[in-house]
Amino acid sequence: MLGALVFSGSLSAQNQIEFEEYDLDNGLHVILHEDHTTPIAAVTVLYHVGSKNEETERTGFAHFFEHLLFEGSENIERGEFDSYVTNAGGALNANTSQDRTFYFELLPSNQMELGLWLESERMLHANIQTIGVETQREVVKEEKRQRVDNQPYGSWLENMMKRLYSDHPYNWVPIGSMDHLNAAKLDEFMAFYKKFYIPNNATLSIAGDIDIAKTKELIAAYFADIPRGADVVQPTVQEPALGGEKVAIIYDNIQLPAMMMGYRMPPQTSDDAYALQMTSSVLSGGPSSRMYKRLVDEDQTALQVFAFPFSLEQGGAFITFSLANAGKTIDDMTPGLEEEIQKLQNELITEREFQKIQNQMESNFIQSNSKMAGIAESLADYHTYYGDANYINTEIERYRSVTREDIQRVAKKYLVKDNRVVLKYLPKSEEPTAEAAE
Amino acid sequence: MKKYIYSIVALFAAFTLTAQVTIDRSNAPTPGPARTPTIASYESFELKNGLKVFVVEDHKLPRISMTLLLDRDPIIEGEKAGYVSIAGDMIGAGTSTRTKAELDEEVDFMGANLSTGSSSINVGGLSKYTDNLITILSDVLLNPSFPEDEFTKLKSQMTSGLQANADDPDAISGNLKGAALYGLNHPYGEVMTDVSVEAITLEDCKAYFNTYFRPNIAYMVVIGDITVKDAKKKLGKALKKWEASEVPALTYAKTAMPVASRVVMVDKPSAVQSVVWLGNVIDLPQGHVDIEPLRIANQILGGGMSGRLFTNLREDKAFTYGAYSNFGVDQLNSTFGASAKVRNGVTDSAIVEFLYEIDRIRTEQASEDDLIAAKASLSGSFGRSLESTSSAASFALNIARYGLPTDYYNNYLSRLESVTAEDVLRVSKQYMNIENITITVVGKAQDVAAGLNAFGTVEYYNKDGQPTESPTFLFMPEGVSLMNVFNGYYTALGGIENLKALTAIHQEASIEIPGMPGTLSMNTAKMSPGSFMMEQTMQGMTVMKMLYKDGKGEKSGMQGSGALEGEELEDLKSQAAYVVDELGWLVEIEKFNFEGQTILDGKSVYQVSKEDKTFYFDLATGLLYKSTETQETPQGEISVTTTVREWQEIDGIKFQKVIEQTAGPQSYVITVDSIKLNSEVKKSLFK
Repeated sequence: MLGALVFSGSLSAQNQIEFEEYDLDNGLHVILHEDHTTPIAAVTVLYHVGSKNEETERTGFAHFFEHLLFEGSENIERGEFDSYVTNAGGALNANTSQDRTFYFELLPSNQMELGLWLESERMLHANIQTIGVETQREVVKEEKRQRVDNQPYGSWLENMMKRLYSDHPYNWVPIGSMDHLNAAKLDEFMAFYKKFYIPNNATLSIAGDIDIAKTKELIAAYFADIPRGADVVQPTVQEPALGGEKVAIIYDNIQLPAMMMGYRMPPQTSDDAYALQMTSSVLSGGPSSRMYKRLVDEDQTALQVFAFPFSLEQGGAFITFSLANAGKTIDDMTPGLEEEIQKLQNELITEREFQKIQNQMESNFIQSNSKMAGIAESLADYHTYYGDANYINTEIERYRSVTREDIQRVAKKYLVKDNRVVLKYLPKSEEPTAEAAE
Repeated sequence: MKKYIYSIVALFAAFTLTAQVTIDRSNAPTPGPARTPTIASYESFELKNGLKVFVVEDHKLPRISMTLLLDRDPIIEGEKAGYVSIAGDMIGAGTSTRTKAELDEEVDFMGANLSTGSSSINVGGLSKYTDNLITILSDVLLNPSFPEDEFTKLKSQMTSGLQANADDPDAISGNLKGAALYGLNHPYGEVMTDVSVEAITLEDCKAYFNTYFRPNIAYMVVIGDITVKDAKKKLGKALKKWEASEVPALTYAKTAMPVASRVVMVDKPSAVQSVVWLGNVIDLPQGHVDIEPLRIANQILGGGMSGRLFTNLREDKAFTYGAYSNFGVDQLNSTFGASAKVRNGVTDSAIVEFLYEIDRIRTEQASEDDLIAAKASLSGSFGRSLESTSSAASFALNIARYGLPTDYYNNYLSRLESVTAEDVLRVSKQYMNIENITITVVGKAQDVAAGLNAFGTVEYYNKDGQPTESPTFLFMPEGVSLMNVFNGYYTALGGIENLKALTAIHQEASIEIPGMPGTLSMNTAKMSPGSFMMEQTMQGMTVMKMLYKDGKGEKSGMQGSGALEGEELEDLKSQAAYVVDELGWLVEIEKFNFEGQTILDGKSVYQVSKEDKTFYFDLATGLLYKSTETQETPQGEISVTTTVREWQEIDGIKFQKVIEQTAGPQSYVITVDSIKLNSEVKKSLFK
C-alpha cells in the first residue's frame, strides 16, 4: 500500500503565485501580488544590507539600524511609527540577517497606502538623532541579554561563525558587538543610512487585497522622487579554506551537554546548497530520519538532534545540533553523528528514502505560500538573492533535480572534518578550576 | 501636421501629469472604505458514538489538517505529575499494527505530520493523502499498544527535558508563577519534577487514556481540501468502533486573591536579566461580557509596541527589549499579568514603572484617542487572524464547548465597538490588582533582591516552585577593603576633617518604651578633651547619670551613686575619648574585620565585625545602617540590634536622628530632638 504513495509529477495549478514586477527610475524594485481572499495587505521593504556589509570595527550596525528606523522621520514624530500602524489596525516589525534587513506592515487593505507612506518616509528621510541612538543602544543590549547571554546555549551561533569564517564578514552575527555600538558616533549612523538605505538597494514587495493599477500609481507618488544612491557593492571576500577541524569547548549555564558541528557551505543559490538541503532531510527530516532515529530512538544518547543548512547568500554553515540525554556525554553522541555522516559518504541513500525526501519537499513547497506576509517576503527574497522572483513558483525544480548521487557527492565534499568546527557545550560546573588546571 | 500631433502628445502628457496621484507627505494618508472580513463558514455533525465533528472547507491549497480534541476538566496529577503528558506521547509511540518506527516512516514518507498530546491528536499533510492520514489517526486512537520500551524512553526524555529547563529562565518563571498563584496542589500550579516523573507507571498512562480518550467528550476539527460529505463518510467509517464511556467530571474551588502584595523569587545566580511578571488570578470564563472591555484595557496598557508598558519601559527608559501585558480566558481561573525581561540593575525600577502604569489604567479614564486606537488595533488583529481558516474552526469549537451564541464571533467587532471608557476603567479596577499583586522574579538575587522589599515580603522558591530558604549573599566584592568602607562612611558623614574639627556635642533625645508610663529623656554630651556626660530622666526625675572628667568617673541616680572603677570606668573613658565615636575606630583598626558585601532588609550592605559586634554599612548611602551585638546582662546574654532609621544634617555633618533598638524582647525608638555643637555646648553640663 505504501508503494502507492509516490510523488505525483505535476503541481496543482492553484498553487501558482501570480505577480507583477518592475523597476522605478531610481532603481527601486517593485513586486505586486494580488489576492482578495482576505481584506489585508502586506507591505514590505527588503534592503539588501545585513551584517556582512558591516565594517569589522562596527559590527551590529545593520541590526542596530533596524531599531533606529522605527524612530520616525521628518514627517513622523519619534515613537509614532508604531502607533500609526497599530491605530490603523495593522501590525509591523522588522528583522535583520547576515544578508538583508526586512521591514513589514500587515494592514487592513484599505490602509495599504499608510504602509507606502511609512516605508517611503523611512527610505527618504529617516530621523537619526542622538536620543534615538542612545535609547536603542540600551534596547539592543537588552535584546542581546534576552536572546544570547541569559539563554542556555544562546551563544552557540556566535561561537560557531567566528570560528568557521575568519576573513569573511560571516565571522560575526547580526547582533554584533556592544562595544562597537558604544563607540559609534552619530555621523557614522548617518553615513550608513546614506550608503545602504537607497531605492536602488531595496525591493518593495506587496501582497494581498490590492488593485495593481492603483497601487502602481501610489507607489510612483510615494517613491519615485526618492533619489537613487551610489550602487551598493556586496563584499567579495575570498575566505581561505578552513584548513583543518577546529574544536572548542564552551562552558555555559546548562545541565545537559550539547554538541554543534558546523561545515562550511556553498552559497544558497548553488546546486550544492540544494543537495545539502536534501541531505539535511535524510538526516533529521522527521522522526524516521537517520540521525533522529539513531540518536534519539535507538542509541538514546540524545534528547534532540537536528541537521539543517544555515544557508546564506555567500555561503553559510551546514549545522548539526545535538543535545545529550540526561546522564549521556558528548562522547556518547559522537559515534552516532559521525557514522550517520560517513554512511552518506560511503553509500547512496535508498530509493525509498530518496522518494521520501522528495515527498517532504513537495509537501513543504505546496504548503509554504498560504499567507500574504510570507508571499511578499518570499518574492522579495527570491528577487534579491536569485534575481528572479518567479522562483516562488519554480524553486521546487531545483530540489527535484538533486539526485541520490548528488547527496553522496556533497556529503563527501562538504561534510568532512577539515571543513568543520565542533563546539562542545558543557555545564559550567565541569569547568576545571585554576587549581585543578595547574 | 506633424507639429500638430506633437502638441497633442504634449497636451496629453500634461493631462496625464495632472491626473497623477498627488500626495501630502506631511500627513498620514486617509484610508479608503474598509472591507469587513468574513469568517469562513463551517458545518458540523455528530457521529453515533457522540463525537462532534466540525469541518471548514478550504480548497485554496491541496492540504488537510485533522485535530481531535478532548474537552475534559483539568486534572491534578499529584505526586506523579507528568503522567498525563507521557500518556499523550505514548499514543503516538506504536499501535497493535505499527511499531513506532513504522508509524514514523509512514507519516514522514507522505511528507505529513502526526502529533499526539495529553488531550489531542493531530494529523496533517497534502489532501491527496487524506485516506492514509485518516487511517493513521484512527489507528493511533483505537489501537495504541503502549510498548514498555517506548515508555521507558519517554520517561528518560522527560527527565532530560527537566534538566534542560533547569537553566531556562522562562521555564522557571512559568513554574514559579503557577506555584505562587495557585499552589502546587492545583492543576494550574503543580510542577513536574524528577521525583514525580520517576513515580509514573505505564499503567497510569493506560488508565488515563482509557478513561479520557472517549468520543462523548471529544471534538474533531477538520480544515482544508475536503468536502463535508467526504469527511462525514470517511470519519464515520474510520471511527465507528470508538466507544463512548462515562468520563469523570472534576471540579475545583476558585482561587482566592492574596491578601497583600508579595514578591516571589527564584535565585538564578548566573542571570544577567531578571524575568519579571506581575499580576493576579482572575475569574473570567468564555463568553463573559467583560472580555471585550478588558481586551481594550489590556491593549492600551500593554498590548503591543504602542502600549503604555512598551512605550514607557522600552522606548523611554530602555530597560528592556519588550514589555507587555496579557490575560487569559478560562472556565476555572486564569491570570492578568504584565511582564518583561530587564537587566539586573533596573529590576526594581522596572517594577515601579509597571505598578505606575497598572495604577494609572485603574484610576484614570482612558482618553477617547486611546479607546479608538485600541479598538482599531484589536479589530485589525481579528481581521488578520481570519486569513487562516483555523480561526473559523476554533471559533466553531468554542461556540460548541462553551455554549456561546452561534453569532458570538460574528458580533465580536460590534461588541468591541460599543465598549466605553467607563467600561475600561471598571474592568481595569476589577481585574487588575495593585494592593495585592503577586510579583515573580527569576534573576540574580544578589544583584536584585535589595530593591524588591519595597514591593512586599520577598519569598524564595526553587526552580520546581517549592518554597526555599532565602539565599545568603555574603561575598567579597572586588577591590573593596575595610578602609574603603570606613572612608566611605566618613565621607558620607561629612568628611573626616570636619568630624575631627568637632570639639563638643550635646544631644537631647527622647525614648518611647512600650509599657513604660512616660517618655524617657536622654541627654548626652561630650567635650574635647576627654569629658563625657549622660543623663536619663523621666518626668523630671533623674533615673541615672554618668559623668567622666579629668580621668575620673562617677554615677548617680535611682540605682545609687558613687565613683566608678574597673571595667565601668574604662568603658566611660573610651566613650569620652572622641567627640565622634567613629574616629576612635581608626586607632584600633586591627580589631575590625571586613567580612564582605551582603543583603540585609533588602539593602546591599558592607558587613564589618569587631569582636562580638557587627556593623552594616548601606552601599547606597555609605552610612551605617545597622549594628548588632551580644551583651551580658544579669538575665543572661541578649542580642542588641540598633538600626538607624533617619539621619539629620547640621553644619554639613550627618547625625543619627531616629534610632530603633531591639534588646532581647524589648524594642524602642530613640528620637534625637536637638543637637548642639562646639561653642554652643555648655561647660556646666560636665559638673
